Amino acid sequence: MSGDKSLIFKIFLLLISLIILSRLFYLQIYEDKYQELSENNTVHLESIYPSRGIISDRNDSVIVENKPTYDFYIIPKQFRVQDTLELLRSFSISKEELINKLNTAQRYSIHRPSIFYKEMDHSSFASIQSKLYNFKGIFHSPKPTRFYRSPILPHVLGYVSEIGPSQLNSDSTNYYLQGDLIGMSGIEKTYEKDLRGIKGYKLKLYDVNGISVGSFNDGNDDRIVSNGKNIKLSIDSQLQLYVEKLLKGKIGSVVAIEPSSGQILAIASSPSYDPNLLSGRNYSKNFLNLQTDTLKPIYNRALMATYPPGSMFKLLQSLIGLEKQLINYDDEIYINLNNIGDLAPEGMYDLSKAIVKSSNNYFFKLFRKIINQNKNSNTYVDSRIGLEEWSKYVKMFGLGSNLNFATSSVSKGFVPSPTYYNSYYGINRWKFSNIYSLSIGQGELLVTPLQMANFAAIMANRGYYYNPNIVLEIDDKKIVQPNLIDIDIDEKHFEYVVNAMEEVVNSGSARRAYSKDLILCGKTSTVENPFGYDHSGFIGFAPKSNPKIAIAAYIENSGWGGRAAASISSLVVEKYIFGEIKRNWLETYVLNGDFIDEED
Amino acid sequence: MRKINYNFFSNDIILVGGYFLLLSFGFISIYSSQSTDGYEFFSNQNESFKQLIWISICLLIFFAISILEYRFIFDLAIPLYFISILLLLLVLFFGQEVNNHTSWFNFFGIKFQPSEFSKFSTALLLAKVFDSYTIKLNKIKHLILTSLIFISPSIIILLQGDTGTALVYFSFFLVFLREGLSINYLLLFLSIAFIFVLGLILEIYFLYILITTIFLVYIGVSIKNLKKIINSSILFILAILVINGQDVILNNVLSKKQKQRVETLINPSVDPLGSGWNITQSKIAIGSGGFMGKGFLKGTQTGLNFVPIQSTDFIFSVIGEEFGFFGSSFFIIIYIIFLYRILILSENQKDRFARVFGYSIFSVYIFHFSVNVTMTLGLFPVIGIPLPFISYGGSSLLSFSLLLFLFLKLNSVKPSLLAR
Repeated sequence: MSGDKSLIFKIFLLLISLIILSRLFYLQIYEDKYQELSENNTVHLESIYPSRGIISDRNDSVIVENKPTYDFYIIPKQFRVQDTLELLRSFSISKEELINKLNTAQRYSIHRPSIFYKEMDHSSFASIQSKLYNFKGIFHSPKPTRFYRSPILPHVLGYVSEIGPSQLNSDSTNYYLQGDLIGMSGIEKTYEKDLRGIKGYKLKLYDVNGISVGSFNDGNDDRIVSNGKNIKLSIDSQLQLYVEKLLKGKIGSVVAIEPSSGQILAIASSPSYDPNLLSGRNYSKNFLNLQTDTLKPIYNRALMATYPPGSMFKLLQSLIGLEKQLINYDDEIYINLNNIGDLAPEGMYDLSKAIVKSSNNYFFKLFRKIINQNKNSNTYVDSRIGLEEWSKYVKMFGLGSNLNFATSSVSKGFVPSPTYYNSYYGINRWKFSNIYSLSIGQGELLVTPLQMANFAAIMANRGYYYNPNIVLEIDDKKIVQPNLIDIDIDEKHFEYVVNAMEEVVNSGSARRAYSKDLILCGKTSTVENPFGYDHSGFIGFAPKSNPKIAIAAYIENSGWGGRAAASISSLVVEKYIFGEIKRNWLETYVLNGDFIDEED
Repeated sequence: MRKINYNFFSNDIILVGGYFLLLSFGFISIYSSQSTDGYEFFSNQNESFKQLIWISICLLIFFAISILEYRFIFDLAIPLYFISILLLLLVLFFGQEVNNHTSWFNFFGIKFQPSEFSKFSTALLLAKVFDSYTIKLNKIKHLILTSLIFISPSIIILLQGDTGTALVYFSFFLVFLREGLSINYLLLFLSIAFIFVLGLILEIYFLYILITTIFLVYIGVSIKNLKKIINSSILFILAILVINGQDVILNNVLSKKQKQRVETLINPSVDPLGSGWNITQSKIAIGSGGFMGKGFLKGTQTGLNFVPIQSTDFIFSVIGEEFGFFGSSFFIIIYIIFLYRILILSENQKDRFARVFGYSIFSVYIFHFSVNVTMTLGLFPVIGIPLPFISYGGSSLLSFSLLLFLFLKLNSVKPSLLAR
C-alpha cells in the first residue's frame, strides 16, 4: 500500500467538486435558455381583449357590433366538482366529452388553464352563472365576438374566426396568440389592423398551483388595451336589406353605386347566408356546411363572378363608333338579318333605334367598321390593328381591371387583345369573322357585376368615374377619396347614348322597369348561356339629370334582361330615390316571380 | 484519571467555522423557500422557524458534549447501536407513514426519524469494532461480519420504503477502503455501475460487441498468463450478467417510481410532469440564477414553489437560483473545504477509533453531499436524501451535528490521554 491512504478520497473530493462546478458553470453561465424558461414558468401573460371596431353604414346605423361571450378554462389540478351531473347539464356536454376535455387538459398541464368551453353566449352564461361557484377549477373570461343585428352584407363584411396555425406561424409581429380572433375575409380581413384594436395584457406572477401572487414588475410592463377603430361604410343598409330581399331565391348579384363619388350603396350576392352563422361556437360546423353547399353561398358573385356583358355592351360599342366617327347621330342604314341571330326586325336603323331595339345585326356592322378600318391591305393585319384600338377603348371603361378595389379580392374579368387571339389562332390566322361575337358583348369578353355597375356610373357621369369604394371613414377620419378617371370620349356622344338609354326604359326592352315618377336610363342584356337558361342582365342609372344612383344587376338563368334584372334594378332605384315602393305589383312580381316560364 | 486540557472550542477552527457557516447557509435557504408560503415566522407551520429551534437544540448539545467526559463515547457504542436497531424495527410497525415511507415516530407533533440516528450509532459501533478487534478485511469472514454492522440497519430501512437512506449506509464501504479493503473492490463496483449506465444509454447489442471486443483483445495480449485469463473471464461473465440483469433490476427490483427516476435522468422529457418535473424545475431554477443570482428572497422558481420539496431534498436549487454561479460555487467550495478538513483530521488521528469514526462521518457526509447536489443538478437519479446541515429537518440535522460533535470531541483529546 502506498503512503497516503487518504489519497483516493482526496482524488474523489477533487473530482466531485470539479463535476459540480463545471455543471454549475454549464447551467448558470453557458446555457442561457433557463432564464427564459424560468420566466415562462412564473410570469403568465393575461390578455385583455379589446372590443373590435363597429362597422356602420353611410347613415351611421350599425351593421356589425360585438356581443359578450364567455370562454371557460379548466385547471385540472384544481378541478373539483360535487355534482358532475349538474356540470354536464350546465354546459350541455356528455360525460364522454367531459372526460375527453379533462384528459386533453391534463396532457397539456395540470397546473395551467386549458380551454374547456368556447364562446358561450350571454343568456346561457346568465343561466348558469349562479352554479359556477360549485365548479372548482373552472374559470371563465369574457371574449367579445361579432354580432349582426340584421344579417346583411355577409360577403363584403367577411367574417372573423379563431386564428389558424399557419396564420399564427406567419404572424411576424407576434401579436396573435392561439385562440385569438382574426378577420378571415372581406372588410374584416382587409381592415384587420384597424378593427382589432390593440390587445392589452397584464403580466402576472403565478405560483406552481396557478395561484396569482401579484403583478410582474409592479405592472410597469403591462399594456393597456385599446379598442378597435370603427369603420363607416358607404353602404345604405336599408337599401342593402331591400336588395337582398329582392334577390332571395335567385342566383345573381346587384351592385349600386353613387356615380358622383364611386361609393358603393349596395352590393349583394345571392344565395347568401346569415353572417351570425360564422360568429361564435358553431363556426366550424356552419362554415363546412356553407362551403359544401352546391349553390356556393360564400362565393361573392358581385365581385368574383364573370359573365359576358351581353347587349349592354352595345352602349360601349356605340361610344367607340361615335368617337371614331365611324357613324354619325343621323346616319341611317338598312339592316337585314343575314349576319347574326336577331330579335330586332329588318329595316332602316339609326344608332339610337339600334340601341333601343337592341339590333344585333346593326352592331355586327358597327363592330366590323371598328375592327376593319382599312388601315392595312392585309385583312388579318387590319383586324389586329382594329382590335388593338378597340381593346384600348374598352379598358378605358375599367373592364379587365380590378378597379383598385381593395376591400376584398375581385376578379378582373377579361378583355381579349390581339395577343390572346394570336396565341389562340396563330398570328395572321384570325380576322373579324372569328371575333364578331364581341360586337354584341358575347364571346371571350368577360366582366364582373362590379365593373358593370361602374360602367353604369360612367354613363351616368357622361364620361368619367371614380373607382368604386366602400369605406368612408375609419374612426371618424375620412378615407382619401379616389381620383376622377376621365374617359377620352366626347361628352356629347355620351349624351346621345344616354338619350337612347332613356328610350330603352320608356319603350324598349326594359319597359317593365319604367316608372312615371322616375327617369331611369338603362340597357338590358340577355346573355347566352350554353349550359342552361340565359342570364338576365341590366345596367342603368337615375335620374337622367344629376344621377343619384347607378346600378347593375345580373340574374343567372332567368332569361331575358328585360324581366328579372331590369325589374329588380328599377325597384332598387325607386327605393333609393323615394325611400318607398309604389309599384307593389312589380315588387310582388319580383318576389314571387318565376321569370323563366313566363311569356313576354 | 484526570482529563483536561482538551480545548474543545478552538480545537479546529476550520471545522467549527465551516459548520456554522453551513448552518447559516441552510437557514437562509430555508427561510427563503418559506418566505412566500404565507406563514408568520413564529408559527409552527414555518419550517425556517422550526429549523431555528433545531439549530438551537444542536447548539445546546454542542455545549453539553463539550463538558461531558469523553469516555462515554466508548461505553455507549454497543448499547446505542442496539437501541437504534430496536427503534428501526419499532418504527416499521408503529411508525407514521409520510411520502410512502414508514420511517417516522410522531411524539406529540414532533416527528422523529430513527434511520437518521442509526447512522450515528452505526458509525460508533464500526469505530468500536475496528478499535477493539484486529480486523483483516481481506478475509472474507471479517469483511462479511463487519459489513453486517451497516447492512442490518440498511435492510430494515429498505423495508420501511426509504431506499435513499438505505443506500446511504453503503457509504461505510469507503471506511473499509481506508482500513485495508483492496481497492479492486472499488474498481469492480465502479465498473459494474459504469456498465449499468452504459446499458441505459447504448443499444444493448452494441454493448455486447464492445465488451466482447475488449475481452478478446485482453485475452490476446495476456495469452500466456492463465490467472489473468481466468480473472478476465470472470469479469466478462459478470459484465454480461449486469447487462442482462439490468432489465430485471429496472423492472422487478426497483419500484416503478424509482425506475422512472433513472429513466428521466437520461431523458427528462419522458415524463415532464411526473419525475421529470423535479429535475426540470430544479435545473430551470439553478440555471436561471445566472452569474450573480436573482438575489436573496427574489428567486421566482423556488419562491413560487415550482421546485418541489425545495426546503429538504432540493434546497440547493434555492442557493443556485438566488445566489447564482458566484454564490453556489462559493458554497460548494466551503463544503469541499469542510469535507477535506474532516478527511485530513481523520487521517491524522493516532487512534484507530477516532480515525474510523472520522472516516465514517466523512463517508456519510460526502455520500449525501455528492448524491444530493448532483441530483439537484440533474446528473443523478432523484434519491430523496438531504443535504447535511442545509436541508430542513430536525432528525437529520441533529444526527449530522451529533456525528460532527463527537468527532470534534475525539479530535480535541490529546492522544496521550486516550488511555483506557
